[in-house]
Amino acid sequence: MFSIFMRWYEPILSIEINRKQTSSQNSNRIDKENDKKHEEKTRRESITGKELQISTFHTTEKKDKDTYLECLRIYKSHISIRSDSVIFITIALKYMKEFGVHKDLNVYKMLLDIFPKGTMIPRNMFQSMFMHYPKHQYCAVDILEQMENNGVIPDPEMESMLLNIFGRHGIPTEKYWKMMYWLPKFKNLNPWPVPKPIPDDVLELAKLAMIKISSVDVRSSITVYDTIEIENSIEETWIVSAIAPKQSELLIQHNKKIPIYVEGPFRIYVAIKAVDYFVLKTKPPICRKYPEYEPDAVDKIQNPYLSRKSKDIILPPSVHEQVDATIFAICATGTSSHDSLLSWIRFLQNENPVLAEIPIVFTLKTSSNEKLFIESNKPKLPSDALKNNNDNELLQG
Amino acid sequence: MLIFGVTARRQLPFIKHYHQFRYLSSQVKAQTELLFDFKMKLPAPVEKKPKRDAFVKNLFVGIFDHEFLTYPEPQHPERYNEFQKWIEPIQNYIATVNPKEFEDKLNIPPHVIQRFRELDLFGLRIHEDYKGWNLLNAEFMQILEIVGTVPSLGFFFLKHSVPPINIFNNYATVEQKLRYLPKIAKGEAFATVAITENESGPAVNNLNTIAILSKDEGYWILDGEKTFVSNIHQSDIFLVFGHAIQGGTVEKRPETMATFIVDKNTEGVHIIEENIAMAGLKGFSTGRLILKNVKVPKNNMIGNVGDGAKCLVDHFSNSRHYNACLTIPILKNFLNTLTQDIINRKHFDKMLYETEAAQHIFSNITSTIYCIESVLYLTTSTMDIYDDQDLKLETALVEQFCLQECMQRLQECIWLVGPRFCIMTEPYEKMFRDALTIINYDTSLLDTKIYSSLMALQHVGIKFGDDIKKERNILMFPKYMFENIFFKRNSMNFPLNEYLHPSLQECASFCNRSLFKLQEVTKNFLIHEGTNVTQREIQLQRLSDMAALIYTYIAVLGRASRSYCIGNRNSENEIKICIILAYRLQKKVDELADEINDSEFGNGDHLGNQISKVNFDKKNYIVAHPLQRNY
Repeated sequence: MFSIFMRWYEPILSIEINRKQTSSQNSNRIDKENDKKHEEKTRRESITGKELQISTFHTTEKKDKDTYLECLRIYKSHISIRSDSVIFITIALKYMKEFGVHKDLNVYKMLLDIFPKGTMIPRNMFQSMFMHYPKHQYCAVDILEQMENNGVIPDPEMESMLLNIFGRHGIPTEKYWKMMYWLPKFKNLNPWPVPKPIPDDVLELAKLAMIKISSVDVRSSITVYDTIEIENSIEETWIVSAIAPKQSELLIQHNKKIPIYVEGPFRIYVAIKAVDYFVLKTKPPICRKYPEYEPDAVDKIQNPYLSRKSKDIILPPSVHEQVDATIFAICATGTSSHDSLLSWIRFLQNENPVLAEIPIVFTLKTSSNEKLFIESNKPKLPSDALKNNNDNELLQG
Repeated sequence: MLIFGVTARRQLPFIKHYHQFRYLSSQVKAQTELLFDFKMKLPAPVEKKPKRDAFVKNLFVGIFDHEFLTYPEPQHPERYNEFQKWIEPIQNYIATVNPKEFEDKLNIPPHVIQRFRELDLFGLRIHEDYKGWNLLNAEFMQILEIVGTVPSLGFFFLKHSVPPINIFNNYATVEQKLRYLPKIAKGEAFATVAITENESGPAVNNLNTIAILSKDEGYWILDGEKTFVSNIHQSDIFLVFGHAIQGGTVEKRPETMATFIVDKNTEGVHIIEENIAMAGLKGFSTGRLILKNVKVPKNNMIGNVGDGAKCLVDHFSNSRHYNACLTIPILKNFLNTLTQDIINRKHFDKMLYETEAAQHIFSNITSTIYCIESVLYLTTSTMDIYDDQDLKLETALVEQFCLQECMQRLQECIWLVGPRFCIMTEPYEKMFRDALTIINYDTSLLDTKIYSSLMALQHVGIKFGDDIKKERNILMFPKYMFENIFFKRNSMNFPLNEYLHPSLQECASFCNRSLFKLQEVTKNFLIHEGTNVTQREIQLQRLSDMAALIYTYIAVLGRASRSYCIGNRNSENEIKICIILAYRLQKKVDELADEINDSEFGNGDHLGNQISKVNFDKKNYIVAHPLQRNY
């Protein structure tokens, strides 16, 4: 019974040791409590090994998958130090993002592979009831949790690994099964699927963003213009424009005395990356008429096939005629500058000549390229290089 | 002079009394022949009876007009006999026409048209005053059926004789009629209508052809492009629909639709040489017409500015059943060819025709032809017997039923034919192509169905409007509610069997039940959906299917009963057909009624809508491959 208790506590004890940096006093105390001196010796060795590994993670200059795997390999090659695998894995998990392997299923599998096979499988009912090797189990759950947070779906091989390590009744195995129920479902839920890995090309991202916005109208089409094609264009860049036939119709019907506006930039996210876009819109009509709706008036059913009237029919507003604005077109440009938007309007004019007759007002907010913060004199930390999002920079300022 | 002739002719009293006609007509002929080239070869028809209430529309509200169970005889015996004699040479001639001759031609061969001229077939629906025959609708239908034995020829004949003549008859002035109709009747000129444009849909007003009044107000200047113009290469006169603009812009046009008579030789009329290639109906020409600055004299406008819309609506609503007529010769041809083919084929140890599978298909096709004939001639004869009878709904139902059934029967027959269907040298493939083209040439079947059921629902709405409003807000009308609970009057019994031969008693009760279902379902549907019925297009289709089945069955009952009573050849088989159909009708009507009653949430329609929406979002097949792995 005592031995069971000790085995249960073993990982917790090892953590204790880790925290106190293993003074000799502590080790003596453990010696007294625990008669297994030989075991204690190897544990001490393992702690020094662990420190070594942690410093490797932190100090190594080249932070990529190969180095990360090399760290794992070195750790694994010391059979003696494998008893503190929990600590090692906990730390290794933290460094994953830094090494850029946080979306790599194989690396997670190699991490999991550090756990010994077979020894932690409960052999009787009580072991199973009192949670065999809890720290190890929680550690494995942490691995799975991190996979889940990073959208990595485990594979059947991982199931067999977990079964070999924790058995059928282990918490990680159960966690795995739950994950395998939900994650594949979440994988395909996005109605605007993004290619994986997410493209770095801004033009591709802009196309995806425009597809996402313009999907409200299935007839909308997306065109990529190159400003070189237009004479006297000031800067060379691309423009991704989206317009639907219905929007062209609305432009034709638009009262030519009322100006239309180019507004922006607004922000839309494609997966985790932000794209700026602009909108060509106008104010909504002052008193918009809606079709009469009388569900009870069955004596006034209309038969459109027999109706001869072409006027006086009020159609319900289309999806482009919102309460706050009527939207004619949207675009994203390479530079998000005033000039590129001017070129955009000129491209739109080719297919919608009516634009030439309508006054267009540019009400742009500050271009997103301008920096809205005071740069500090401090040199940037290497970890800041990851935060290329403007939001983070704003927060710093 | 001719105008004088017309007015003089109209005042002659004898036309209304056919029994006096023979004697009098000879007298008149003697006097007038020298002056006017009148031909009155057939005895005058019976005088039309006053119009009755619309039959099928009333079925929806639970009123049954028993007059329609008596299968009509539009001609009196004398006219019938003469007419039968008269059509004999036509039958003989059509039997000699070789359908293969049409296969590689762009137009109807000139010698066929010449022979038609000699047989005087081009003025069948034109009034005698304009040198035509002014046949009854049923009579014309019979000739169309004969000519339709060669499908391309039949369709050419239909497109020549119906749409343009209808417009002339109903809307043109006497001068216009005198100018064009005699030429058309003699076969010296051909007319056709030009409506469809590349971007036009089923909405009447959606046309881009524009006519602008010239500055001196003597001409309309037409601009536009028309497609799907039937008989384009034969035609000399085009009836073009467009918007007549006297001022203002196109977008904000008031009621401007108008019809113009455009001569082929006018400057600016350009006919595209190439035909629109169609799957079937080789030899029947359909093409595109381009009008550029075409000057049309002001008096060549039919009716007034704004009349065009009514004209178009009439064009689409009143002549729908003519296409259906062409399905009869197609099915008959198919049946005859198949019979000859099957009779010598073996199937294991039996002959193929002895197997039950083949017998089933043959009985099906026979009963379908029987149904189509019954309902078609009931409708057209009703047109002839009653003056200005409202048959819009009936014609639409006839069209829908005939085209749909024809397609289904052909499909069944193809399964019987087997792989030989695919061989180009066999006639089946051509017949099928022709049938496909005829069925889909004019309107989409979906539109027809929705159109007809909406028309019926409008009628029900007007009739039961108050009741339905109360039912929809039942708690606001407690008195009505309690009356309904305690004195509900829902039993409806039409004593159909009293008007039929006793052998059809069972069938009559089947029909009775279906009628009750129809009325009940319609009322529930309206109570459930209110004015939203216009959006429930799937339900509308089901409703019109139900109505078409029931209307057809009533026609079949009337015809079978009449045949059996007067002892037509094989009339006992008509009774058998009636019994088969009664069972199937009952099944189908029950099924449709259940589907409507279950509403779109019970029968899965709303889920279907969602699937289709995703399809359009993705513009592709949406479901993953069955072997796709997700992890």
